[in-house]
Amino acid sequence: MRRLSFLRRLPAAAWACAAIAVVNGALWAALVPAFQIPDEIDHAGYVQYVAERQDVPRPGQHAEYADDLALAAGGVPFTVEGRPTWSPETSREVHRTLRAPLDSRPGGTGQAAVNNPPLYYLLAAVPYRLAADREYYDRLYVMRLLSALLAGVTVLFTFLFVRDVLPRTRWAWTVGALAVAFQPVFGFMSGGVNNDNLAYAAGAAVLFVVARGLRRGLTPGVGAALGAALLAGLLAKSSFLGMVPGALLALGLMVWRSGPSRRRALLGALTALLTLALPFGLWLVVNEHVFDRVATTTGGFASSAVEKEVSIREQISYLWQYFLPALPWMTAEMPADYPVWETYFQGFVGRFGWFQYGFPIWVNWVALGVFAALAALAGRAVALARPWRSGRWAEALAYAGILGGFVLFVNVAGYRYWTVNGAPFEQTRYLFPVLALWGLFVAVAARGAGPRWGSAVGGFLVVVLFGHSLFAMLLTLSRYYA
Amino acid sequence: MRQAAAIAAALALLAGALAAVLSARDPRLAATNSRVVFSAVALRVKPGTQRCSVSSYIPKGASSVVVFAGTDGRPGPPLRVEVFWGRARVSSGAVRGGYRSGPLRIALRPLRRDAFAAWVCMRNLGGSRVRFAGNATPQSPYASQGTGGDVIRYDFYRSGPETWWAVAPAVAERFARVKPSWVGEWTLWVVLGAALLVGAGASVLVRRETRCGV
Repeated sequence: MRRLSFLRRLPAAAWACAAIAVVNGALWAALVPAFQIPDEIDHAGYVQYVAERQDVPRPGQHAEYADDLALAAGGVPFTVEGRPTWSPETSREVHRTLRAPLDSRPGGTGQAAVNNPPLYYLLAAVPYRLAADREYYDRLYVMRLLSALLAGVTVLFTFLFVRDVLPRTRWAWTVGALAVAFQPVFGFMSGGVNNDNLAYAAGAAVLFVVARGLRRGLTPGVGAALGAALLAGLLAKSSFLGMVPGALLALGLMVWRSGPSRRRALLGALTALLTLALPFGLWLVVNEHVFDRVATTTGGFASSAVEKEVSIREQISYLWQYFLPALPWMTAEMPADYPVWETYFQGFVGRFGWFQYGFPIWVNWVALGVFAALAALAGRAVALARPWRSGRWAEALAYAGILGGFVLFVNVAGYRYWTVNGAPFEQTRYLFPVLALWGLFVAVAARGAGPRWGSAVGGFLVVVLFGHSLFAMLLTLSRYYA
Repeated sequence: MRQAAAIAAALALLAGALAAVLSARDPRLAATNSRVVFSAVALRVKPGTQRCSVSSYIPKGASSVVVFAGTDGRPGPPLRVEVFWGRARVSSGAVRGGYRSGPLRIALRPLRRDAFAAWVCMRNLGGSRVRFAGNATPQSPYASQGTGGDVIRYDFYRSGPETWWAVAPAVAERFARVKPSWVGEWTLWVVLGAALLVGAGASVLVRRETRCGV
């Protein structure tokens, strides 16, 4: 009952922001052709496997899609660089074939998804079953709606996160939440079947709970919430492991700052650890011994084959060069000339499809200017708040730890993937479990304009960010249909 | 007041940008058989020979075709393109020799009706070889899609430069293809209308929340 009253006490603006994100995701779901969200075939195949076989696919299985999924993909027809058919006759024929009785039981699913933990797919199996008697494209759309719903959850937690960080600046909560809702790559992803969407929601929840714990103290309830959020993320996607070091740092800071309520804080920390470790440990055992999936399926790029090809020296060189100019002794080949600019920044401004199409380069330069202005405003706001004096440095340290740990984790995986496969791994969407920090950044930047202009700048930014999202939709329309 | 002015200014900026983009006049695609951005395959057409392939759909009104020619630094030979549907030749066009490597636009007699599974033939009327970009094998090694079985890439264009407003009904038609069963040509308008409503809702919400400035 207390939890329900917590929900009832949320400001109407929080629900409005979440609703905007859900509708936005549903629009993206209608806009993007089938299977043009990255790896959507494999993710949809995983959902179908879970829904039709009540089982989890095994990594060793041949990627044998069910007949209806294979026909739907072939009918688009699936390509990374091409367009779906514009022929009305071909489209009619594909629909006619899909309405005939077809085998919906897959033999496995593709490599891009099969290693993932099953939580997102279990959730997506519900809409899949609800639409089980519909043709495949209908089922795919209904599955996509789950991701739109999760976008609403992400934005709701972002609102709560910004509220806890900036409790006295009411308008900033909405500005931060809508900055996330209108992030175009986030919107694009929330229109597709992909387990990233659950990781985004779990990441926003982790940041909210960390903010709450640091601002109001660590209680067993906060600990349980933190453990549950981390657990949800880890059961959604293995790379969520990158959130754990930062979350543990935050947990340590909460205990350290607890003062006279140290005992309660320690109980909260223990609750967090148990809530996370016990179910996740159980999943690891079940994963290996019940589902016969090898342990590496939850560990990412940690196999012995990978270990042979990587070195610490090259790893450090790769990480350095990803973000900074190479030093004289660094010779490692990199996936791009300026990876942080080409992959992360341009990818954040907007690269869509299979990380394939985006805005013209001049848009990215304009965006860099806007970003620099926001950074200057945010810097001003932080300088005025003087966190090192107000005792809020621990919060800043915790958020920096979560962001840094996560980026580091993704780029360590990126180095390993690059070394073994010779193909780039990093994409901006992989960083979106910490997207709530973008919302906070925008809100703090608006606040940096000062008490007289802050809310006006916030309102201006929300409309500009909506425009960014709208132009991303038009870009997508022109990419596939014009 | 300041908040309302800031939001109104941003909305005006957005409306202006939208109007400018949607009113820009450019050649607009009518159909293509291409599945690549840049092709990794070059298909040769020897002097006096032709290369034919099936294009699944060429809509009525298509009035030019762009191919990507390679002439090895020499002036390209004259070419003729013919479109056959059934036994009838439904369109044709030609280009004189002397062009260089790169995109080559060939004007066509506009198709009077949609053609499905039409044969498109490229004939080399000159005395030198010419190559054309293929349609299925991408240059990028990271484009994980089916490759091989390339035919000459044909990008068919509608007549004349057009604005997005003019091409919008065609886009709405294409939008409805290979989509959920309930999607029709109306859906694009609903999606765009709803997107604008979302923006309007966000503007109202942020106006309400920023009103007090605290």
